[in-house]
Order: sequence, then C-alpha cells, then structure tokens
Amino acid sequence: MGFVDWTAPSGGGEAGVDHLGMRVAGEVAYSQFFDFTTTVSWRPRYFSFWCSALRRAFIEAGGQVNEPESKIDLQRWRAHLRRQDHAIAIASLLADPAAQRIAGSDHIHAELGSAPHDDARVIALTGEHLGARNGSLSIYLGPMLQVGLIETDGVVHRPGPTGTMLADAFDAALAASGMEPVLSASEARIDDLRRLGALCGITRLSHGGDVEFIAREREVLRTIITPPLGADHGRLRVLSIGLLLDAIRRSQEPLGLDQFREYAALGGKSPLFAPAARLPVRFDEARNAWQSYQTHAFATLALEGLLAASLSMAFDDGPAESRLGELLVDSFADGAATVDPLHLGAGWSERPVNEVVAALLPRFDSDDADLPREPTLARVVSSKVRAGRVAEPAPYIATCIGLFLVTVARMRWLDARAPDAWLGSRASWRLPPRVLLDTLDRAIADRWDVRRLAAETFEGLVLGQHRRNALRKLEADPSLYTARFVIDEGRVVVIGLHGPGTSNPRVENALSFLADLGYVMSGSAVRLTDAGTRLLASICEATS
Amino acid sequence: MKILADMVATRGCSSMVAATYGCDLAWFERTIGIGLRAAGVRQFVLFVDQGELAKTLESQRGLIGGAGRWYSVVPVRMMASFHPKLYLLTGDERARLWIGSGNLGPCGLGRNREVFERWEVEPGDPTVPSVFGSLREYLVTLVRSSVHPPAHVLDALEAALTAPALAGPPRADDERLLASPGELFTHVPTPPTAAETLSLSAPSFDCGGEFVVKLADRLRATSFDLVVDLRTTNLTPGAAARIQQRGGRILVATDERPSHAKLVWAEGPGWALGIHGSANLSISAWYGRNAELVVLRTGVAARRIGDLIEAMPARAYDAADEDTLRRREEQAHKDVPPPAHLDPGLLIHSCIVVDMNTIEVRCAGKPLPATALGLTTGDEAEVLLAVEVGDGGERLRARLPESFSRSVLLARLIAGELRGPFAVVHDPGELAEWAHEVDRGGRRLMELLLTDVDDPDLATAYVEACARVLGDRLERARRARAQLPDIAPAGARSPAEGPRWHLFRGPGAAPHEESTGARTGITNPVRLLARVLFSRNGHADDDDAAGVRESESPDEPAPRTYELRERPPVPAPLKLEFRRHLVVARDAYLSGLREWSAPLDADRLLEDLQILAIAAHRGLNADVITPSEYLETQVPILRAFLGTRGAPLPRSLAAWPGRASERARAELIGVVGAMLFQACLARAEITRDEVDPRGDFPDVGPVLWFRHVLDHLGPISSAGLDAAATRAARLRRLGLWLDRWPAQLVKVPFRSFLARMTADAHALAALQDRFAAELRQSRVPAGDAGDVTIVALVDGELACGFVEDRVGYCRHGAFQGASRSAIWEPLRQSQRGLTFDHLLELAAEAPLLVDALDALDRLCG
Repeated sequence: MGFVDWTAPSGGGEAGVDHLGMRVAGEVAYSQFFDFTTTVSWRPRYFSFWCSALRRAFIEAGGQVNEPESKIDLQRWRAHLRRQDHAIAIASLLADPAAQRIAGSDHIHAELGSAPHDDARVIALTGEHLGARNGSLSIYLGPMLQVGLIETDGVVHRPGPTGTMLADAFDAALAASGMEPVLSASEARIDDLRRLGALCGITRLSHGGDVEFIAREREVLRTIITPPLGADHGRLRVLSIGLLLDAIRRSQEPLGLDQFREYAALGGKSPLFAPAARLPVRFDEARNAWQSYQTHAFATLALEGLLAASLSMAFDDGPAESRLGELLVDSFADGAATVDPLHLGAGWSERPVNEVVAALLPRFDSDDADLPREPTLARVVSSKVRAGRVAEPAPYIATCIGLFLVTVARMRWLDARAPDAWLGSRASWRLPPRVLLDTLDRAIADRWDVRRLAAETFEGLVLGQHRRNALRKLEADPSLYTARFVIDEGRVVVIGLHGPGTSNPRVENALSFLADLGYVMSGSAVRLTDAGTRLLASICEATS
Repeated sequence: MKILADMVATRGCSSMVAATYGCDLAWFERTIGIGLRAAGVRQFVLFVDQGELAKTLESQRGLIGGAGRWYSVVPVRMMASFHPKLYLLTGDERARLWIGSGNLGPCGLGRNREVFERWEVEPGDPTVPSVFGSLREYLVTLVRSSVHPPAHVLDALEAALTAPALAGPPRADDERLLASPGELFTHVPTPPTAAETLSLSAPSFDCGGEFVVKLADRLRATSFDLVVDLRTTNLTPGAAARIQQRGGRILVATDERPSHAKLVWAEGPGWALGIHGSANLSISAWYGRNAELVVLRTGVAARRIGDLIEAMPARAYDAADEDTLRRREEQAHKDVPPPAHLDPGLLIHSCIVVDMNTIEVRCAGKPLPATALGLTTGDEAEVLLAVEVGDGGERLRARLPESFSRSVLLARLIAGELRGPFAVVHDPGELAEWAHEVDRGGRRLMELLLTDVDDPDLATAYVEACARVLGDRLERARRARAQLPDIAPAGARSPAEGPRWHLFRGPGAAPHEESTGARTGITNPVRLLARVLFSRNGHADDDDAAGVRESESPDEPAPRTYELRERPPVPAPLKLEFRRHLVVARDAYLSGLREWSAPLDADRLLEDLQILAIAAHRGLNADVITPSEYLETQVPILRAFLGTRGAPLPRSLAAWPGRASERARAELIGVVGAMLFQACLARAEITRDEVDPRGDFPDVGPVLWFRHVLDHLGPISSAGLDAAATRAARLRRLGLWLDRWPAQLVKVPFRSFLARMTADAHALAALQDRFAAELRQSRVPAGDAGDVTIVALVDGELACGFVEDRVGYCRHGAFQGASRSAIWEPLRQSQRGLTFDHLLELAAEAPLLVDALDALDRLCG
C-alpha cells in the first residue's frame, strides 16, 4: 500500500505586516528625513563608541588605518568588535542600572545576576550578549554610513575622516577613565567596568554633559548630525529636525508620535499647536515632503483599515468570492447612512466624487478647527481594530473611505502646490500618491459617486492589491505565502486578520537622539532645552 | 505528510500531471511550478474542472505568467463537477503519485487538514505498484471520453505515463482505485456482516444527508460517527437531523486547521473497509454526476483510515452548531448565483496558437452566429477579434493583431451580449521548447555540484587536488603582493583557529589592474571541472560541454576515468566539502585570471565564463543559493573577465585577427547579455522591484558592461542582436538560463533587453565621447547631497554616483547606482567630473545628445 496520512501545514502563517506593499513606499521617504536613526537605534553615543571600537578592531586585526588597502583577519576583527560591544554594554548598565535602550541589556542583566556590586568579580567578555554577528554595530551601521562616519568595503568597516574625529573625542573619555585596556581584554573586573561606564557609558552623553571632554564629544556629534545648513549634505535632515523642534515648541500637549503626525499632516496648522511666526520659506521643501509623506501614510492606514474590515467580515462565514465585493459595498452604504466622517451631509455616499473633492479642497486652506481632518479620522481607524477584528464593520468602513477620500483630495491639493514633494518610492505597485491620484482622476472623469469609488477601491486598491503584493513576495520566497485570504472552491478563506498601520515611525528614536544630544528634555513632557532653542533659531536664521 | 515540500523536493522527474477541482494558478506558478522547473520538470499538464478554472482565470487575470507557455491547463467539463485530486511526477529516475482530498492551491496543499496517499517507484524496483497502472487507465479514459485535448497535451501525457520509472512489471497487490464518471457506489462491497464500527468525515453532503443514510444502510451500521468541520461543511440542519435519525452521532472537528478530508472507515466481524480520496458524502459524488478518484482499502490496510479519523480532535455537536449550520444554509442560498444557461457554443475546449499570427479555438458546441473572440493578457484591455469558422464547424480561427504582446493570453467567445468563460491560449511551440530542451549538461552539473553529489571520488578527490594546488599558489601570490608575514599579527590565537584573511580596500585603494603580480603559469580548474562534470563514462561530451576541448596546458592533470553508476550514498559533510573545494578552485582561477599577463584564447575564455556562470545558475535554479549569493558570485566573475579594458577577455578580443566573426560576436553578446539580464532579474528579486517591460533596470552597471563589450567588438547590427537573442535556446540547453522568473521573462523578452542595453550603451559612449574633456577637467562642484555625479574613471570608463564635499563617490563597473545603499563594491572617489545637472546644461548646447542624456537620466534613476 501507499503511505497515507494527514497533511502537515506549510507555506504561510502570520508572516509579514506590509500587506499592501505601501508601507515601504513611505519608509523610503522617512529614511531621508531622519536618516541619522532607524526604528531600532536610540543612542547617539553608540556612534562615538563604534568609531572608536572599529578603529581599535581594525588595527587589532592587522589593518593600517592610513593605508587604502589592508589585509584583515576577519575572525579576529569580528571577535574584537563583539568583545568591545559586550564590555561597553556591561559598563553602561553598571554605571546606570536603569539605562534604557542598551543593546543586549536583557542578557547582561541576567549575566550580572544578583551580584552587580561584587567589585572583585571577573566577567568574561565573550561577545555573546547579542545574536547579531557584529553585535550592536548591526543596529547602528546603517545610520553611521548615512551620516558619513564609516568607510566600508561591504565586509570590513573602519572610521572615515569624520568618524576618526569622533573616535578621538570618545577616546578622550576613555583615556580619562584609565580603562582603555578593558576594551581589548577578554575578561574584566566589575569595578573596572563600572569605572569605564562612569565616563564612557552609552547613556553618559546626556548625564555627563558637564564633563569637558564629554561635552566636546557631544559637540562633535551635534555637528555631525546637525551640520550647518550650508553644508553639502544633511539638509533635509536638519530641516526635519527643525520641524520637530518647532513642533515641540508649539505643541499644547506633550509631543509624541500622534502629535507630530498631526503637525506633519496639517503643516503645523492645527489647534494642537500654538500660533507662531511662520518658519522661513526654505522650510517649505521639508514641510511639503513631510506633508506628502504623512498624507500617503494616512492613505495607507485607510486602505489597510479597509483590508482589516474585509478580512474581519469574511472571517467567520467565508462568503463566495463573487459576493465579497457586494457585501463590502453594502456594508459601506449602511455605515455611511449612520456616520458622516467628513461632515459632507446626509447621503454623502451617493454624491459624485468631483463634488466631494470640490467641497474638501477649500478646507485645506481653512483654519476652521471644527472640520474633521485626517489625524482625527486616523485615530478612529487605528483604535477600532482589536486583534485584527473590527467590531462594527459598517461605520468603520465608512470612516476608512472618508479618510481615504480626504487624503487623496489632500494629495490633489498638494500636487498643485508642490508637485515634487513626494520623496518615497514611485514604484506603481507600491501605490505611491501618483497612482492614488490616477484613481481619483478616473473617478472624476467617469463621474463615479462615492459608493462606486468605494467599490473600485475595495477591488483594486485593497483586495487586488493585497493579492498582487502577496504573490510578489511569494515569487521572491516560494516558501512564504503572506496572503491574508485565499479563494478555495469559490469561497473566501481568511488565513489571518490584519491590524492597520503605516510605515514604522522614527519620531521616538529621533527624540531620543535629540535628548541625548541635549536639545530636548524628555520625560513626562518633552520640551526644548536652551541648546534646542538656539539650534532652532540657527536653522531658521540659516534658511531666512 | 508535508505534501508541498515533498512534491517540490522530488528529483529525477521530468513530467507532472495533476487533476484537481479548484486551482490557484498564480500560487502554483510561484511555488510548485518554480520549484519543479528548477528540479528539471519540463512538462506540466493540469486537468481542472471547467467551471472552477473559468473562475480562477477571471479572478487571476494579470496574475498568471506561465499558463499555456510552460504548462498546459486543460478544462474538464462534467455533468456536475470534475473533482479528483491527484498529483503525478514521473521521469527517468523516479515516479511519485499522490491521491487525496486537497485541491491545487494554498489551502488544499498547505493550510487545510487533508488526507493524501503517496506511492513511489524507481527504475531499480522489481515491480511497479498497481495503482500507477490504474491511474494510467483512468487518465486515458478521461482524455478519450471527456476532454479531447489538443495534440501537445496528448504528447505530454504520453511522455508522463510512459516514463522509464514506470516501465517495470505491475505489482500484484490489492490496491484499488475507484474512479468516475460512472457510479462509484456499486463498487463499495456489501459486507458479509453488519458493521460494528462506522466513522465518516467529509466537508460536503447532499442537502438531505441522503448518501450518508445509504452508506449506513449498505454497511448495516446501527450507529455511526460523522465528523464535520463547521468551517468547511455545507451540512444543512435538515441533513444533520436526518443523519441523527438514522443513528448517526455528529461530532464537530476542533483542530486549528480546517478539515477538508473525505474519509470512510467501517469494520465488522471478518471484514474492514477504508476509503479516502476526493469523493464527498453526496449523491453527486457516488452516483456518477461528478468525476471522482478514491482509494479503497480492505482488510488490515483499511485500519489506517480508522486511525486517521480517530486522530481528529472533535467535540459533540450542539444547538449552537445547529444555529451555525442554519445561518450558513441561509448564506449559501444568497451565495448561489442564479443559474445561467451557457450555450456550449460559448465554451472553449481548447485554444492554441497555430502560428505566429493565428489562434485556433475548438468549441464545446456549434459556435453561435456572429461570434467574436475576446483576447486579453489580463493586464490589458480585452481586444475583440473577428473569427472564421474552420473545418467541422466547431473550430474557429482568429488572426492575432501584430501589436499584441506575446505574454500569457486568455480568450473567450463573445456573441452579442453573451460572454463565455475565459480559457487559456496555449502556445504549443513554446511548450515544446520547454518540453524538449532538457539541458542535460546543466542538470548533470546541478546534480553533481549542488544537490546530489553521489560520487566521493568524482566529487572530492579530483577537485580537491586541483583546488589544493591552486589554493596554495593563490595564497603565496597574495602574500607576496601584500608583503605580509606568514604569521598572524601579535596576539593569542588558538592553533586550531586559522586566520580568515580579507583584503580591505578603502576608498583610495588602487584598481586591481595596477597590481603587478608576476605569474608564469595558470592552471584552469574550471576546464578540468567541466570535463569531469559534463562527461559521461569518462569521455568528454562536446555537445553537452559547450564545445569544451581538452586542455593543452601542461599544468592540467590527465582526466580520471570513472563510472557514473551505482554508488553508495554520500554523507552530507562530504557534499559540503565538495562545494567548498569548488569555491576555492573558482576563486583561485579568477585570481589567476586577473594576474595573467599573456593574451589568452578568447574562445577558451568565453567557454570558461559560461561554465562558471552555469554553476551559479544551477545553484539558483535549484534554490541552493539565494539571489543575493548568486549576484555575489556573478559580479566577481564578470569583473575578472570583463571588469576593465585590461581584463583578459577584452584584451583577447582586441587581439583577434581583424574583427571577430559575426557568429562569435553573437555568442559573446548572447552569453554576457544573458548573464547581465539574469543578474538584473536577480537584483530585481532582491529589491522586490518589478521589471519594466521596456527592459529598463535601475542600474547603469549592465549598460557599462555592455558598452565595454561593444567597445571591443565594434557596433553590432540589429541582425547581430537577433542572432544573439536566438542563442537563448542554446544557452538554456547549456544551463546558462534561469527558470526562476517566468513572468518577468515573458514581460521583458531577451531580445528587448539586448536592444535596450545596446542602445543605452551607444548613448553612453556618445555622451562620454562628447564630454570626455569636461569630465576629465571639471572639478566636481559642491552640489546638494544626493546630486548625481558623472565622472570618468582612470581607464576612461564612465561611472556615476553621488556628490559629497566636492567629491564624486562612484562605483566602478557593474551594479553601480547613484545611491550609497548598495554595498557590492567599495566607493571610488574622484574630484573630476560633472553633476548631472551640469551635464544637462551642456547638452542644451548640443541637442543631438538629448537622447543620450535621457538614457543616462533613466539609468541613474
């Protein structure tokens, strides 16, 4: 006989988050605004430490820092990197046990155990506190390349001229601690590590601002991350930092991610932000780019919300494929009868799209605080999904369609004022603003009403887009099918639910960097320091 | 049973035949299709229920890339449903068959709990399980009675069913396949005694539960268990009540994965019966309206089916479940579209490309008056074509518009307001190309190099010897060049832990060609490898080996004699060892090539280039290496051969007497073009970019390579490009072609890619010629960060990159781009060059260069 058995599962699961492929489009823009950080990097002193550590490891592995070519023992180089990373992480946590965002801290807390005060205890610096091959360098290498600190051939890295300057600044603290040998050792005593951490700890950049050589190191870092606007590089970064500082200065609430999104989306024109003198015209480039990014991010959220609602509705009953579109549009119509997210009046779902857009466009120049704007709707779209389930799909869908409408109308408005504002991916399959505007143009040209726009959006921009995106990913990796639903024997089978979102924001990371650099005070309320106020003033002055 | 993984991992097969009710073709192409093509399967025939196929084609327009091009999809029309689920792989070395309950899609072969039975046979086996013979009869009957497929499908089916693996004598076993159309229930034996146990499970039932009652009656079971899964079942409350009334106890499956299996298990004194397969517990399934395929087991073997049912976690059926079934029943009534009468004259039996301009359609019935043929690629708007009625009245012909793209086509018949379902247009020419171009050399290489190294003598001893010699030489040469001591830098290192040297090359490092390593000889491991790997029974096979000749180098050892027959299995570590030696040998060869000063024979170099590329191609096709690793492999190969004007291949080409012959030019353009094309596709896969049908890729590197080749060959004519493009078939035969991106290959034909590359290369050459002085003399201005800069590098080659601090940072040669994200190559600095904006200003004075600038603009992204 043959071998007969139940089949085991294969090729799917809960992989992936960017189920429409749009988040990456925005990510491309975001990585240009805050290029000095990523979503996982938090501490600018890692820049200084790594410049110093890379130089030591390069020499240790046989390299000559002033020669264009060097023969490097890779194993030795890598082992030295990891040992230094291990040492600095322990030192940082010994000096500041409550320190956050130290790479490998969980492992090190366990390693230190209950006896972190046993000064005579010797700890082996194995470099095994992190899984990544190059330790926390794997986290910080990208941003360090972005700000021009590193020379690399793709395998081995060493500090470039600017990085060398920063390494020198860090080494001044290292020399003052007297603990330089610890970074080349394979083991170290607790008290030596604590002494190292007192001056060279990753969090000490903000704590030790009073120490002259640390203040100098911080000044070097400031110059690298916020170079003068006349410099050839980093202009968009500096202007973005300027916008962030302006938002902090004017925010009536403690500034966090939601507040900055509102600032970016509305160009700072929101009751949430105190009136202030308009930023100089040269900020417009960055402001438009941010607004374009944020508008697209809200469109992403709206479409992902529609995907979440579709999956949620189909999850239990698995309707016939042919009926799904009809079910969703009916649900939209039901929701639109009870919810009017844009204050367009009763029967808004039956109104022609061109009329709706014409009604929305003047609002973008208006200061009327009562008109619903994207951030308000986005909060609803984000908050009404729990574990991928939408409790009341009909009003939720109506809100998502409302958000989508206002974002594409805003894109039209922006396109007329700053046609080159979009800095993200322009690949059509990632649905950049141009493609969304094409849909709007078609809706207007063919005289669709909002209901028809909803139907076309579901079919083309949500369900169709999701299938294309999942197949694109499957083509790249045939073992991983990320589709959230499939059609089986004519029925929609939901594989997994979805929580709507946007590209990963870096606002918190940027704030953390600015705090360590001494530009903002973090805590319960983020506010500008004197240095931050001076920086904002200098950026404004340079752009005037 | 991991059916999907098992299927894709099957080796030694060349044909696949599948029969399924539902299918997800877009998924199939990107999983099973891509995997099996890489494993050498060349013929695919999918029999699919016509109604379900029509829905799939409608729903997946624009998502399907290979239907009718590298696999055939045959619609099967039944009174109710064509419902079997079978997957057959056959070839020279093996045949595998799966029969069960799962459709061809991510649910049926992945997500659902299904039951399948698998059989396998190899040529050395004394007998062939009888189920293969039964299946052959079933398929032949099916084709004769219900399908009437075109000739190319019959050929493919015949090839699959007469494969050497199935040539042995049939086994005398008691395996029974029950197949319909035709009444299946008569084949279910009436047992001698009443059933003491009866357990059933299925997703679908007739609306009154009638068949379950009939089965219980036939087996004389007074009580029985029925396991249903509320997520997949169509059981109605009425049917449930009827079944309970007959003595059935309904249980609800509680497993995380939905169950879609169809199982029957019964046992009584002296007998046992087990059934699994495609048939639901419905009248349609068992009384002949559907076509089904089930496996019937009796006696001890039947017990296994009982075990499978018992392994299903389940709970008692309750009132809430009844409510669920009621709601589902109401929903189903809404879901069922009103029955639409579809005239057979609108149904397509088959639709094939007869010649370059003509499509022939065979209808299921007499065509309706004023019928037109609607044609679409899925992405494009449907085009209506007039049809002519051909011989017999059921065949229609339409002329393909010249402008229509040659990608996957779907067609349907349209008569006034009536529109038939879509069918796949098959291109027998392209299917045949796939079917017959089994690259024997490539497959052998793949098997030996990358997957099934089955001969330790062949694999390790031979390569190890040459690798060791070359490795030692290489290391000595490196040491001499770097003038580094033999010992490691100061510092403790365990004796067992040898250094892994890496030559760091910073921004200011000199180009390779300025190194002056003195070498007096070069051994060619690539040629030795090729001779071993492509030869059979110890004799080089010139046809398979791309004309590889015996080496005249005194450094080459004589070839070993070996036998490619029965060999013991090789432990995995040996395979890895073999691969490692290959890498060492290749690196040694490339290093030697870079340092070789005397002119080399261009033909020989070209062959070496092909052999090295083949190894990487096969690795990627077999999924042994990733696209990133593939690129990492290809770039140094291209660089060693073609990286600079002083590289061996350009130098050797320049040394050819007069101009190279047209044949040789086409050969070189074809090989390099194929490598670059596929490198671009690999990069597109990594970056997840979609390819542009015009052949645009976001890298200037390939164009620079191309320009380099053209520089040394002189202009190539359109006819020359055609000749190069026609090399694709030969390249594929040699294994120099990747089967990994069928959709992209359809979207961007190789000929289009070559044409675009050539045009762009000429444009760049014109640009460089015109601005040579400015590029060398102008100081790079202080542009904005991210400004694209154009510089001329030391050997006069054009490069582009970005500006920073009045320095242009560029990558040299292939895969450079105007960004700092790619790290294939260290950046090179130049203070001489122009920003792209400056070039535009200059071009305003020379309007004829606008095209060239457009090209550059596009390439620089």
